[in-house]
Amino acid sequence: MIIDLENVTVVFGKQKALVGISLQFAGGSMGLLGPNGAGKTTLLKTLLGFLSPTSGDGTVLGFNIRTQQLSIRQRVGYMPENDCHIPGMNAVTFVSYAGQLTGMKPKDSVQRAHEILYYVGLGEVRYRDLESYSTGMKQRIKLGQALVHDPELVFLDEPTNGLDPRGRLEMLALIQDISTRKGIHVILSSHLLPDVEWVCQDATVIHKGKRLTCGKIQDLKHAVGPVFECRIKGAAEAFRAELQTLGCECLDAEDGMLRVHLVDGLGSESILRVAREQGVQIRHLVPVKQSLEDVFLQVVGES
Amino acid sequence: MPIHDVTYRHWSGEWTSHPYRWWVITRQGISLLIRKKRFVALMILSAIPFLVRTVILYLSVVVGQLGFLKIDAKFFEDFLTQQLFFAFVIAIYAGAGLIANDLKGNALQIYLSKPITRKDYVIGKLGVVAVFLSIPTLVPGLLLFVLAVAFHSNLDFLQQNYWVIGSIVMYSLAIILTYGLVVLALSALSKSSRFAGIVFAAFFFFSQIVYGILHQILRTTSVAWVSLTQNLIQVGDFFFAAPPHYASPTWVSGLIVAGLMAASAWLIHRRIRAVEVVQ
Repeated sequence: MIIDLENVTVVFGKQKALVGISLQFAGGSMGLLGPNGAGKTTLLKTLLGFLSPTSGDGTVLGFNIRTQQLSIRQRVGYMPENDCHIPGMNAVTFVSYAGQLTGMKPKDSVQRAHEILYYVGLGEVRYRDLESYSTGMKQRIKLGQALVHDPELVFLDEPTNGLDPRGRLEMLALIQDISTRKGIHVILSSHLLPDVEWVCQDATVIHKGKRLTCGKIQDLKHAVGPVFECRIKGAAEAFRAELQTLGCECLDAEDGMLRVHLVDGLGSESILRVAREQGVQIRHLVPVKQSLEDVFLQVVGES
Repeated sequence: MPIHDVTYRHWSGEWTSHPYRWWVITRQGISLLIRKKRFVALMILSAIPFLVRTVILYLSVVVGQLGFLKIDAKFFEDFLTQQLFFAFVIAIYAGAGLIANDLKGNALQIYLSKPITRKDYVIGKLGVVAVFLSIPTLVPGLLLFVLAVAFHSNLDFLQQNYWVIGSIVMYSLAIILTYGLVVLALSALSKSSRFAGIVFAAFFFFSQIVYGILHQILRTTSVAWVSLTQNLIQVGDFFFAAPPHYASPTWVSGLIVAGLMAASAWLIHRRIRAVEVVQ
């Protein structure tokens, strides 16, 4: 098991940042999903040993998160969310320095830094001062320093923050390449659901410090009942209320559409029946392909 | 084929052992500082008193021109005391930005996400200041002693003064650790190296000024303990078994110097964290 957490709680003063989180990650790529302030970064920092759990225990790559932090960090790469650099360094010096801090010899780390900088797309600007880098370049250099020592597992905290659409796609392609072709396990923390859906096989949803759900993204999508988009004319409130009494969830969508999340066992005929009973006209009714967003909205809504 | 397909290779080299990981930080800090021309100029300037003392030593011992000048423990103690000002300036230049710049660039979480401890980080940073502070103090102090032994035609000087080696080491360490830890603690307090430098300079000069004023008013040197420099001089007197420069008790100066080091170390320990907890 790459990550195995049992009932981990982290408390800052009176505030519970993580509440009884249990998590098993067998490998591959996993997305940590949650709104801002959900506890994603706190979870990553706990896995790295920056924070010691108030209760509970766990392992990363078989090493205990309370007692073997250095062994974990030897094998893990971490790309922080915030802009990070060391003033006065260029990219080669910075990445090579990161390698040496992990325990690489200076000669090896310099050679490796050049390779990694080409890999993350900074080969042509590797001798430029880091302070002159654009946001996209800074994101890439953070990824570079996380990869320099060839980690078994990387923690990427909001890696597409501040990137333009093209930069975002390139970063996601890199992350996908790392996890699918380079054999490095990836934990991707993001509040951007499409990013996680594109790159990861597994997802864990965290909200208010609690783990709401986790598993294979495909399974999570199937676990959510069918979803339909419809446009109605008539007593919309009564229609919604009746569907809600059946356990369905109705959300407003774009262009005046209504998105109906049905519970398992119900189908489009249920919507038509409710419409007939409430005297509502159905002008448009199509099934919606399930997305991670649906899963997310449902579990967060339920919580 | 995208370029990353041909450049990423898994790495299977040898790891260095962990106990020396702090040296990576020290080495990097040194290499960043020696690229600064002004700093190199300052280091060269700090060597002038050593060259002057070497000439004096030569004239006194070999040529015999300066017979009135006695080459004994006081000669070496005076040299180190003379270097206090250079040590102060170098501490500001080398140490003020060491932690402040990392805080400014959010680099602490990069450092601490690697297999190094907070202790490694602090020792590494202290190592940078210590190396540059030993260049005007410990290194020339010991070199002067070696030259003094070499210039004397027999071993009498060494037999009478061998203990001075320990005094040079201890006085130099007191200067290096006090200045080093205080400037690092101030650097850890702010994201601005300028702030750390100004506060250290203010502390240095203000304590001197307060002592000067009290000395003028009270007409006694028993209040020398209020000044950082005077405390270090008192400690130096103790290590060189010399009569104290000031009337204030030596143990008080020793306690203040030790207290400053301990308080600085505690402050650094409190400030160096990978996570800033906002409650």
